[in-house]
Order: sequence, then C-alpha cells, then structure tokens
Amino acid sequence: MDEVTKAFLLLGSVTADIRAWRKMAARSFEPRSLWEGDFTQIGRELRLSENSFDLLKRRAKAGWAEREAERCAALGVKLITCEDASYPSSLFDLDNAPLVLYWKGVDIDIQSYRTVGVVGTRKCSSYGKINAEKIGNCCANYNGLLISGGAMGIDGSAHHGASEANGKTIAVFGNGVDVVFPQCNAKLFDRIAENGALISEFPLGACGEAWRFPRRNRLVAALSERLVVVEAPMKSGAMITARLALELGREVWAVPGRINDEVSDGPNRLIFDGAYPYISDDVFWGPQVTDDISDGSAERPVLSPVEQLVMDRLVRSGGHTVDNIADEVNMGAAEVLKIITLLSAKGLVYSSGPGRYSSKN
Amino acid sequence: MNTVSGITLRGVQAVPVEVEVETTGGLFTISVVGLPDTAVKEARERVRAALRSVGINVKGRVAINLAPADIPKEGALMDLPMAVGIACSQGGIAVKRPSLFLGELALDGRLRKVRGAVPAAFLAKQNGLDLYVPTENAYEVGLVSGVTAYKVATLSDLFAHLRGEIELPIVDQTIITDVEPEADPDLSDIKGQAAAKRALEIAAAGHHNLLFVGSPGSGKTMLARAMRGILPPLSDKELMEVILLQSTAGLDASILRERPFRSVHHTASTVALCGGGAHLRPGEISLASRGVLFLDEFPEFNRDVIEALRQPLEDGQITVSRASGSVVYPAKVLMIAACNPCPCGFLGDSVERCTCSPGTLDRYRRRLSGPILDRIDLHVSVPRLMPDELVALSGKYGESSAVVRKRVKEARLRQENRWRQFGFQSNSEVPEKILKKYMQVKPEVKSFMLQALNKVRLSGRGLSRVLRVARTIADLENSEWVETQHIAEALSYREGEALSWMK
Repeated sequence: MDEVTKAFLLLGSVTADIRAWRKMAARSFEPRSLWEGDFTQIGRELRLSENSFDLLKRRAKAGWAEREAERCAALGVKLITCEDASYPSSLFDLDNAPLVLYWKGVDIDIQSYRTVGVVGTRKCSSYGKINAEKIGNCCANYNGLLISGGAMGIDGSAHHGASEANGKTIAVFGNGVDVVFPQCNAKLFDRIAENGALISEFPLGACGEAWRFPRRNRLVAALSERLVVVEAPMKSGAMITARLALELGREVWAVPGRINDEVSDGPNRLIFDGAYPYISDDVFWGPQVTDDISDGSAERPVLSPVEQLVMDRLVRSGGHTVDNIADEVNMGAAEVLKIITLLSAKGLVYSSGPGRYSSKN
Repeated sequence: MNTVSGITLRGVQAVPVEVEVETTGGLFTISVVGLPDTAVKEARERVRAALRSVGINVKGRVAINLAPADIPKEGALMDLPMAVGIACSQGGIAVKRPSLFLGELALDGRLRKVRGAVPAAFLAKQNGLDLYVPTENAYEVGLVSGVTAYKVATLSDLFAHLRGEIELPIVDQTIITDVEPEADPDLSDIKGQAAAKRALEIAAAGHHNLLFVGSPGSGKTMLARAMRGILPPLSDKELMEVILLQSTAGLDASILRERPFRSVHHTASTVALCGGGAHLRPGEISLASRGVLFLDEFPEFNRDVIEALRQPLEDGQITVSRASGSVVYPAKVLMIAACNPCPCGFLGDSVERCTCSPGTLDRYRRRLSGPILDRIDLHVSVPRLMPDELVALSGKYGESSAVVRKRVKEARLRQENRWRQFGFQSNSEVPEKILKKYMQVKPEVKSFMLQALNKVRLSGRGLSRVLRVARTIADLENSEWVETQHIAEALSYREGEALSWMK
C-alpha cells in the first residue's frame, strides 16, 4: 500500500476531510509525517483534536490501514480516494468532501447519469411510500441514477422502486458498508449492490451513531443534481439535506402533501419557500420519453365498465373504505372488493390506510 | 364382587374406580390407598361427617382401597362412592346392582355438583351400570340417552332408596332445543365493515383462520363475536363432543346448539391454552373446539404460547403429555386473531396521529410475523370509520346473520360432499396435493394466476392458501369452477395485500 492511500484511510478514520489533505499539500508535509511527526507540529495544523491524532498514530503503528485494505478486498469493497479518477467530481462542491469512499457494488460513472436524490422521513405514510417508489421507478425508466440513504421509510421505498425496475441506485450509508442497518432492508441492500452501489465514507464496521447521519446527508445532497423531498416533518434529517442541497446550488423539489399531515409540513414549507413542487412525473422528468418505458405510463390497461366505475370514484378522491365505495356506486361490498383487487393487480390502486383505498394516478 | 364404583377422569374419559372397604378393630382411623390426590384424601373428613349426619358413626380402623391401584385418582367426586362403601361395610346398606356413584359431600350430607358427570354417564351406559348423581348434575347427565340415572339430593335419600324405602327420582332426558341460535351481535348490528363481514363469511364457510388488523374502536372484537352467529349449529356428534369437554372442565354444559366462543387474554400460559397440569385438564383450544378461539392483542401473546398453537391448529387435535400419562383432546377451532397496527394503535388512521417511533414499529411488525401467520388464511384490515362515513352508511344494515348462515351452511355441505372421499370436511384442511388436483380451476384462470404470481411473489404455501380461499369463495357462490374473480378476491386477503399499507 502506498503512503498516500494509507494517509487517506487514516485521516478518513478520524473523520478528517479534504481540507486536512489540502493543508498538508500547502505546507508540503509528507504523508509519513502523519505518523512520524508530533501533534504540535502536524495535528494542530490540520485542526485535529489531540485524541484523534493519538488514535491516528496508534492505528498507523498497528498497521490498521493495511488490514482495513485487506478486509475491503476480502469483502469486495473498493476504496476510492479523492485523487482517483473514479471519485465523483460532484463531491468536490463540498468544502469538506470525504477523502475516501468505501464502494460496494458495481462501478458507476456518476457524471454520465442524471442523478436524483430522494429523501424523507423513516416514518412515512402510504402516500409518501407510494410516491417514493414511483419516483424510484421513473428514475429507472428514464435512465437516471437514484441517490438515497438506505433507511426505512421513504429512502427504502425509493431504492425499492428503482431496483424493482432494474434501475441504478446508490445508497449512501451513515455506517460502514458492511453493516446492515436497518436489518429489515437486508434483502434490498443485496439487490442494490447487484446493479448499483452501497457507499460510505466511514470505515468498515462503523455502526450507525446519531452524529454520522448528518455527515451522510451532505453526501446525498452533493451527489444529487436534483433532490426530491417526499415526506418529512419540519425538524428532520431530510430538511437538513434539502438545506445543504440549496447551499450547494442543487435543484430542490418537494412532493406536496395535505396541510394537516405532519410529514408533509416539510415539503409544503419548501414549496412555499420556492422549491419546485413535484406535481407529476412529466413535470419533473420532462415529456421526452426514452424507448425504455414500456410498462405503466405508455399503455393504459383496459378496464371493464364496472372497474371503470370504481376507478372513477377513486380518482375523484381517495382514502375510502369498501363500504363507502360500495354505497356510492351501488354495488355489493364483495363485488367492490373484487374489483379493487383486480385494479391493484393492474397497478392502478393502492391501499392508503387500514381498509382504505386510493388511486395511484 | 364389589358393586360400588366411582370414577376418575383421564382426559374426557371416565375410568371406573372400584371402592373396597375393610374395617378392623382398633382405634378409629380412615386411610385411603390407591394413588389418591389431596382432594380424595381429604374426603375422609367429609365422608365421616356426612355419615354421622345420617346416623352412621364410623368405628374402628377403616381401610379404603381405590382400584385399579396404579391410576391416580383426583377430585371430590369420589366422596359419594367412599361414603356408600363405608355404609355397606358398617351401616347395613346393600347395593344390589353394580352402580356408579358420583358426588361431593357436604358435612351435613347434602350432595354438591361435580365435574365429569357426562363422561360418567357414557361409562354407565357402556357398562350397563346404574348411575347416581347430584341433582345439580342431572340435566347434563340427561343429555346422554339410555342410562338409568338417579338424582340424589342428600345422603339420607340415597340410603333410603338403597334400603328400598323410597324411590329416587329418575333423571329425565334433557331435550336439546333445535331452534336456530340467536346471533349476538347480529351482523346487521354492525354498521359498515363490509369487507370484514365478507371475510367472516368466507372464514366460516371454509373454516379458515382469520386475522383482523385495525385501530382501537374499529370493531375487531365485535366482528369476532359475530362469527358465532354465522356458523351453522352443532350437529349431534359435535354437540356431544362439546358437552363432554365442558363437563370435563367443570363448565355448565350447553343445551343449545350454539358453537363455543372462547376469548383468551394475552397473559394466558401455554398450559391454559393447550391443556395440561397434573390432571391433564383440557385447555382453551379444546374448550373452543368446534367453535371459535379468539385471541385479542395477538402480538402481545408470549411467543411460546403462539408457537404451541401451531401444531393443534394443523392437526385439529392436541396430545397433552405429562409424566402421569397422555391424553388426546379435540382442538378443531376456528382461530380469529386481532391486533392493532402499531403499539399506539393509530398507524394509518385518517385522524389520530400515530406516536410510535420507527424502531418500535419495526419491532412490533417483527412480533407480528413468523410461522403462525402461515396458519392464517385471511388477513383483513379493519378501518376505523369516521363519523361522516358512519352517517353516510346509516340506514344500511346489510344482511342479517341468519341469511349469511344459510349460505355458509350450503357452502359447507358442498365442501363435505367434495372431500368426503378423502376424509376431509372443509377446504382449509385439505392437503395441497389433493386440493390442486380436485379443486377444479377454469383453464383461463391459469394465465391470470401467472400474471398475479409475477406481480406479488407468492411462496408455494402462500399460493395454496390463495387457492383454498378461492375454492371457498366459489363454494359460497355455488360455482362448480374456480374462476378469475374468485382468485382475485382471494388474493386480496393475502397478508401482503391486506396489510400493504403497514409495510
């Protein structure tokens, strides 16, 4: 292992960023001076705390960086440093860009894609979930690259939507790429890694501590050309990401929601403050349709008269129970239930709450 | 040959216990041998006092042997045969015909009600014995026809009868009322919830287990209680089984053909639910046999308890084994489970706000999974109706339980006719292999199934559950063939579909 990579790994492990490296270059410090020099000479210059510097030195002596590289090789995790050509250039917009990225998955030339970030609360409603999934889906169909955080709720649904349509997607972790968190997304992560990537700036084995997630969010913001906030309360990580994205000059979009839903407060507020409202897929993606879109939006499924009747009712307003629909269209409840199942098999209707149904369009 | 016998219970079966008494000279003692439990040992005091009350003062060393010696004897129902045995040996009483005595004694010689009178009646009928039972037990004994049984109010009456001075009243045959059971609550009492009612109907027809998920106040419990009203009345054979179990457990035997409904609290132990204990008592699952077992707050149940339910739900019976022996109890229950969508109960509610954190939700969902869900064919979300929705539905009551019951009955008959040759009664118990061969699916359904399979990713077991439910839906419509619409409706009761808003 060359000394530069070793220095990157060690600096990264104590969460130093590109500023430290630039400073070293400016003062023309050798990489080896990191583990051979002393704190007053180097550490203070790089704005490292005494503890961090000690840790760094101890790790350097114990051969931690070499072992970390071996572990990465064994797990099939690539290490991309900020001097590599494959390092995503959009990250340089951050003045605290990470020195090294742990990359698990296929190689992706991020610059060649339209990148879309999708963020939102972990505790979303069915409305948010369905829309995150749909955005993920569209992203795949339009050959975009979907960036999100791999968490439960909105993040997971967006990844799910993209990987379901065989699209490329990157999950940016707030923990080591070998740590599966949350557990319930384990299968999803496997699928993402097959066609996309799981990335992180944290060393292997780092677990998801609260302070890591805001750091992760800045990567999501920087990697996305356009960021969509689907559902998020006012005080949330997603809103922080949106703010970061604005600071980086990224386009921020928000999915409008009902004004009395707490999880829609964030996006609605963003729209009020001037974010683009995500009111339809066409508005976001533009009308030009690539050849890849074959299912869903291109051809409309044929509906029988009764199906059309129920569908019309659901399109007018959503969130109804079978009772009320049956009552309004004058059919038996069993009949309506059957029709709704057929409609949901055709991908037109989803269950928006316990025993309640809404139209997807 | 000794003619005085009592019984002890082995499961729902009465085992005859001969009572032998020997008196020798010496200071007064009564000793009981033959594996008596505490209740039987303590009978000494009750028996002595009761005999004294009718003027028999027990003297000398009295040894009572309960044969066969290797079976444990339990309960207070041995009081009467022991008293009669001593009276024969010391009081000049003679029992001319071989007889079975049953009853707990009060100190003043009155007889108290005991459990196990129905099994005793069956034993007496089988062996041609005369049966003497406490008056309070008379009506359940009367349910068993062809037994010579006498009602005994007090010990003195019994002795007068045995001496030939009076004639004890004979137990009358209890007439089982054949009136259609009254549904309480009736389906028409429940406003809205058409989807849940439909699921109840399908569950009742095909004997499918059912899970309701809904916020507090959505009416899960009321819906579960309405299930009893749409099940067809018990047949003679089923009624006998139910009465036998109730008598064994010491419950009031039902004289209606209404199916049992047992609601179990989530603090219940495995033994309470499955049966067991030193005396191998039946558990709730057996007491609910031929009826409904309702488990409210399903995820709050102890994991072990739920896992223990799996095998009996599959087999329709449960083998309770302990050191003292093993007993097979019936456990043919229709299980209805109910739970909230999240710990606070308001996930997905249109008005109330859910206050659970994502972590708690994840944990709760994980508790609501596992192999037991494989035994549940129908998953239903129950919406909490808003006042305006209720108003919109006012005046529309839907079908009454009696109408639905009629359809259920007919559907059950069709299933019985179809599966009789294989020895099954309902669609839910037919093994996958036979089901697929004989369920008669229309050819055009295959393509729809393939399409659906691609979309929803059904497991093999999940698929056979859908087919089973579809067959029941077709039976309810008196349709020879399973058609696309039946499969479509059955798909909507899948866990993934019905609870998709939760994930």
